[in-house]
Amino acid sequence: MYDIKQSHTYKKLILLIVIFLFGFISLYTVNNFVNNLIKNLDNKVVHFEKKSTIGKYIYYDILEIQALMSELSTNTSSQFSRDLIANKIDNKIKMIKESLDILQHGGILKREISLNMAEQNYKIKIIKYDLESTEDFFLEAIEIYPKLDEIKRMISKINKLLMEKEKVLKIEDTKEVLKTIKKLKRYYKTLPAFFKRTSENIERILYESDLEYQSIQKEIALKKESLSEIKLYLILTTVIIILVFGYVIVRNVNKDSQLLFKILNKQEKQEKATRAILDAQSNIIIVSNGEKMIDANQQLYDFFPKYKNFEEFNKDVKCICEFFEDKVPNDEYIIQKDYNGLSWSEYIQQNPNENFKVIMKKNSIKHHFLIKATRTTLDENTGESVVIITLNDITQEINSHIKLESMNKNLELIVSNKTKELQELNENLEQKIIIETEKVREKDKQMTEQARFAAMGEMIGNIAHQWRQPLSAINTTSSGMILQMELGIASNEEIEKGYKSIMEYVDFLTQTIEDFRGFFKEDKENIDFNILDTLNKTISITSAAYRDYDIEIIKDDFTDVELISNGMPSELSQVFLNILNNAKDILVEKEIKHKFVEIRYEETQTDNIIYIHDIAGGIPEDIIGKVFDPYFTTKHQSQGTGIGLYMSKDIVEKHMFGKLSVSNKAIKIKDNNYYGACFKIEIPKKA
Amino acid sequence: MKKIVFSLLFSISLFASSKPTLLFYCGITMVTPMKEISKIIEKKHNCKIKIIQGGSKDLYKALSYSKKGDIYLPGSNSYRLNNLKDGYLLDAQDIGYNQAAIFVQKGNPKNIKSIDSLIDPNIKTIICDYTTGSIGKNTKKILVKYKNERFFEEVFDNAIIIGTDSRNINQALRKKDVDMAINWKATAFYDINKDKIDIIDIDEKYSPKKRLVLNLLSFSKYPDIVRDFMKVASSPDGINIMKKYGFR
Repeated sequence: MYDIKQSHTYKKLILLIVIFLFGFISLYTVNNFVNNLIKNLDNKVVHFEKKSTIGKYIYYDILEIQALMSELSTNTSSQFSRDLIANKIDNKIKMIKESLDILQHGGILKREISLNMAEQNYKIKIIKYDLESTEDFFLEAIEIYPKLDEIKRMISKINKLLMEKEKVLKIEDTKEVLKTIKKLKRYYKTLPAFFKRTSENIERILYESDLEYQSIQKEIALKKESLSEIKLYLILTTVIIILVFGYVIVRNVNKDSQLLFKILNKQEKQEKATRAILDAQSNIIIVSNGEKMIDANQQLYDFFPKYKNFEEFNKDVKCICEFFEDKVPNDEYIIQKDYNGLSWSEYIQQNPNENFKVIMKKNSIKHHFLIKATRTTLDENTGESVVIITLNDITQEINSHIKLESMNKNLELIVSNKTKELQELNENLEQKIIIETEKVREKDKQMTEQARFAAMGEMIGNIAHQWRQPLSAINTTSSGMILQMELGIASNEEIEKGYKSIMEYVDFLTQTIEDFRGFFKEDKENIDFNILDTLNKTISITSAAYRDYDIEIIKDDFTDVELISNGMPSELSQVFLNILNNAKDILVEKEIKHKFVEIRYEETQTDNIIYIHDIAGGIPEDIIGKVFDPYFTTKHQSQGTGIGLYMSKDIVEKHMFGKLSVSNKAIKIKDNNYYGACFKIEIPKKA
Repeated sequence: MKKIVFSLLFSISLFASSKPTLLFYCGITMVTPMKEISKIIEKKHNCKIKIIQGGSKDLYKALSYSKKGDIYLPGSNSYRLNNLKDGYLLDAQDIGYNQAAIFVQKGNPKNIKSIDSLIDPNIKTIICDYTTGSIGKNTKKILVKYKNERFFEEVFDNAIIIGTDSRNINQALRKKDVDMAINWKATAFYDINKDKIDIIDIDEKYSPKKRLVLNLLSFSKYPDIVRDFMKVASSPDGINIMKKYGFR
């Protein structure tokens, strides 16, 4: 983090320098650029000035030629003087041509300016004229060159006319003289027009040049002003940009410095914390750069109290291995030696899964240490790394191990004895289990019998109820018949009627006995049967008792419904009877005014379900979980055995592989709300 | 800001290549309308047209000497016809005509009525140099046709100034250096002259109308622009411009 920040700061500083350099270069470039533009403009002005000067020289030359022509026409008296003037005109023409040539192609024009001064007759004017690349046409040359040829032609013509005049003068032919003079006169008359045209040409060129010069000067003055302003704006803009960027970067650098300071502070704290953590370790920790030790924790000086800090330790000791004991019990112990070309530290690093140990002495007592050496990379880029050596004092463990080994030897003997004892015990245990199993079986048998007897008791109770009314009717009928017979008032019809009535009661009693027998007949094997038939028969058995106690059974219509399951019907009948009797007992016990028991059936995809729901207020929550426990009863000892529901659950769940459960539920009967226990008998459908 | 942008553009223009420049040899009489048409072409083709003005003969000498330039417009078509043999003159386009007339001071104070006054020693006259400009050449033709060569010589002898071109003649009239001249009729209608000069027509049998013909020069670098110049000059717009300056 520190390095990254530092490198960012350096980058920003370098950026700042680059921006300043860029700024200065930009300023220099802008300045140079604008100066060059201005210089170009100045050069243009100078160029026009030179052009104008050369034009003037041409103009003066033309004027001189005109003067010479005039002299030639009027004042010459001999061929010599005419030749002299003609030469002068020729020179002038050459000078004009030279000037035009320089204007056309550039070059250096040297002109001798006559001064006519005592101390100086003339001066040489030198004009260096560079050609402007933009000039396509040289109007001066185009217009003046033909005129120069014309001048030559005119001189020749004048010479010819003058010679002609001299000739006719010599022969004194007056007529011819006049004719020649007229010719000369007419010719001379055209000269001013010619020179006017020529000088007008030059003047026009000079004028246009001057106009252009003035316009350019004006334009240049404007441009210079604008360029100076641009220069100023550009420089100002560049300076502002530099300052803004500079400010931003300096601000960032300043922020970085503050951040750096914070980081350094944090780093210092971290170092202290790290040092504290290191010192708090119970192990001796030594940090090495691979060649020499560079740090260690407090535990080192605790072990070697001779040294107070690392500097002292490092002054005396170059390697911790100097303290490793040579006499060691086995190869797990590291000693100061070469391990196939590797140092002890490298050897440990190359075998990180081995538990190497060393022995070092403190106050002549040997201490065993578990030693680890790990190389940790500090900088991925430079590959800089350190080796961390940890020495964990395991002297106690080693001593314990030795003790344990000794104890182990005794333990083996003890184990052997104990094994023998256990073998004997095992042999007896099998016998005991057989006996206990037999006892349990016996107990189960007893319980089953108990349940059967209890059921039988219940049955007998029910038979008594069933029989009471028919027996009383038989008794009343037979007593009535006897009395009528004794009084002699009995008719045969009445006796027959009484007999029939008695026989009907006897049939009913017989049927009751048959039901009783059916109930106690033990089924020998499982059969498929309609559990609703079994339920109906059981209800029939209990009907008299229920009637006696004014208990109304409200049940679904079972007509034409078959819920076929597999099992022993008599066993299931026992279950129904048990639950119905319990319902009757609790309804009677709680003296409930309107006593109801609701019986419903339900059919799922897999099960046939019967619900038997009383309205006696439900089983208290603290005992509802125990009602299926054996010998658990809420009834008086004389009434209940605590076997009924236990056996019922056993029959439903173990014999018929169903489920018997109970819960307290609200129920609505004849628009009145009741609350009571609801037994749910779930029996799998036949396969 | 505008100034800065303008200056920057100017700075850039210093390094930019220059526009095509055409050289137009124009008889001095037609310079004014030709400048107006040149402006249209300059705008249309983003070019520059430089006009060399002067006498038609001088101009032809200049173009044949330099062998540079693009258009030639002499004051008379005879300069084309006589010089076609040189091969410098290619396409031609009529743009109007010119006719010579007698020029006098405004109000004709000398009561000049005919060409004959040119030999009156009481009348101050100017005629154009017949060796230079179209009007000089045309004047000589008129005078010879009017009478004969001798009449021309008399007129020449009587002239107090030998002019260089039509403008030079009008200047002498305006300055009242002279009372009479022969010049191109159209120039009398120029703003600068119309209040100073009156004209007296010359019978067309002596002074026929002279066709004004634009000539494309064989050494032109921009023949397409020249042809377009000819097209514009002969278009209704061009004719209107010519009319505006009396060339019809």
